[in-house]
Amino acid sequence: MPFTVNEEYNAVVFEIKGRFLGSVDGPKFKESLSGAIEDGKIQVVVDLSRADFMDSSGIGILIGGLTSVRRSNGDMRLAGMTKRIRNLFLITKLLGSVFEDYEDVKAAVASFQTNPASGASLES
Amino acid sequence: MNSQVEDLRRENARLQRAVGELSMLNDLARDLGASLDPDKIMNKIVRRAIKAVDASQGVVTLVSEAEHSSLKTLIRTSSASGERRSFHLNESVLGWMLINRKPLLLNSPRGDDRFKGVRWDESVQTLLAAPLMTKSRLIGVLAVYNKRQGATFTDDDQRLLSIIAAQSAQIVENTRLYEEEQTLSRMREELQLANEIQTGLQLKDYPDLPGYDIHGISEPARSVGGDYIDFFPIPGNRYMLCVGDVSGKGLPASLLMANVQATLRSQAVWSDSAAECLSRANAQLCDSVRRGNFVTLFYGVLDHAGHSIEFANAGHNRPIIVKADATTFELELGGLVLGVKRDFPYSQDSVALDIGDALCVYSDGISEAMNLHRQQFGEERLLRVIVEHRRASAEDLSKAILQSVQDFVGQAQQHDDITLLIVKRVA
Repeated sequence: MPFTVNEEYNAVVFEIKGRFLGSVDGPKFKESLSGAIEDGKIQVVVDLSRADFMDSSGIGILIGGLTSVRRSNGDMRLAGMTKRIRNLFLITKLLGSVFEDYEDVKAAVASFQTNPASGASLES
Repeated sequence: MNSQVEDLRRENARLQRAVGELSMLNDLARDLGASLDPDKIMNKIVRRAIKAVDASQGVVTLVSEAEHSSLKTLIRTSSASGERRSFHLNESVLGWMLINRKPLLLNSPRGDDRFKGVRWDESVQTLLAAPLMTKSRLIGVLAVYNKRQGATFTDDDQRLLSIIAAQSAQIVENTRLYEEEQTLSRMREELQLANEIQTGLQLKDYPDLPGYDIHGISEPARSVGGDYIDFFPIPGNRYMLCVGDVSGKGLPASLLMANVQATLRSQAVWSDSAAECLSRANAQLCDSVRRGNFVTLFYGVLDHAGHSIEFANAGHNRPIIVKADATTFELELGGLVLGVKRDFPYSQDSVALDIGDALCVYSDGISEAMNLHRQQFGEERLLRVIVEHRRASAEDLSKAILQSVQDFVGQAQQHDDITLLIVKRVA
């Protein structure tokens, strides 16, 4: 499995490991995320600290996921980005304007307390 | 004497039954040989089986061996026929068959010790099932239910159903293999189509602009990727120049790329500035692009009389400018990738081109090209080649970059397209 799912406090944490390729890992990730949303788990953290490569469709899966979660008035926040993946998100300007990132899972989980999901849609 | 007549009569009846069975099997073989449609084949098997053993319903259930752990996912296809509503093979019977792999005759299913606690569909009175085996692998189960007139299935019925199952198994497996082959061939066709679309969109030649030397290359990776390169005249004696990368691969990426090209070429004509063009294109793509797809794009407008390039960048690698004196700098202004957020405010910048300056716009297939040690080619190596070959023609410079990338990656297989556009002011 390229990712595992845990629940911490009030958030559901997807940990992505190794290479995250949209075409390979996307369908399972989507399915798993949809399940979480259906169960009302809309505070989502994606832990990228052990991910070392992500292709464009992998990023696409995260964007699609973010859209789904926000539609349900939740949010998806990124945690522990490695330098390589962070660069990818910086060049594409997805960091800041679309995704928020946090130092680690703990900080991302805590952010839902101090800064709850606004439910702002990407599509407005 | 009487007993001899009786024996003869019995022998006669047996022979007649055998002739009937043989002709039925012969019909079945002819029927099955004539079709490659799995649904039709399974329907025929079920109909023949029902008729052969005088049952009222039947079902073929195919299983895939890889998924033995979960019975629920075992049923790939099932084809049923008969009076009343069709039903699925009971999971317990399927499970028993997976373990025992031999025919099963149940004339009183509810009283059978092997199926204690199983809740049978109330319509099931009697059941007869036989495994579909090819090369000692269970590929499915042929089951019939409820012998007509309230009768019970006999050993002869069981023998006959087993023969039908044995005869059908290989044919069912063949249709499955044929179906797989068809799917593969469809995928190959799709890939071919994607290739053609992508090739059709590629620029074949570059305009001969006085004072400029322009060259682009786009080398698709093994699978069709989604790099995009364009150079196109727009009003005001200017040219739009783009290098982009659409997310994903294969036919969807090719179609998205065609969409991007059409969007940009039309918006470029109507936009007064690079930022406006990207904002318009972004809004349009946000409406048409499937969720999760996006496009990185460097968009520039070359004013070849004024020797400047106005540009905006939607999440693409920063292009590099190399000057005659070997200094280099990147076009730093960035912006969000296209197709994700409708109201992103793109901004623009412009850069003057002196004689000897070359603009290199490239895709991440170059900077992220990986060798067998999983090291990336990287921007530093790219800068070194560009500086070293800055005096070469645009074509030679792009060839030198490509060669350098190929030398670096060696035998490692590339999974990303390599795209490069060089705009050099020579006079």
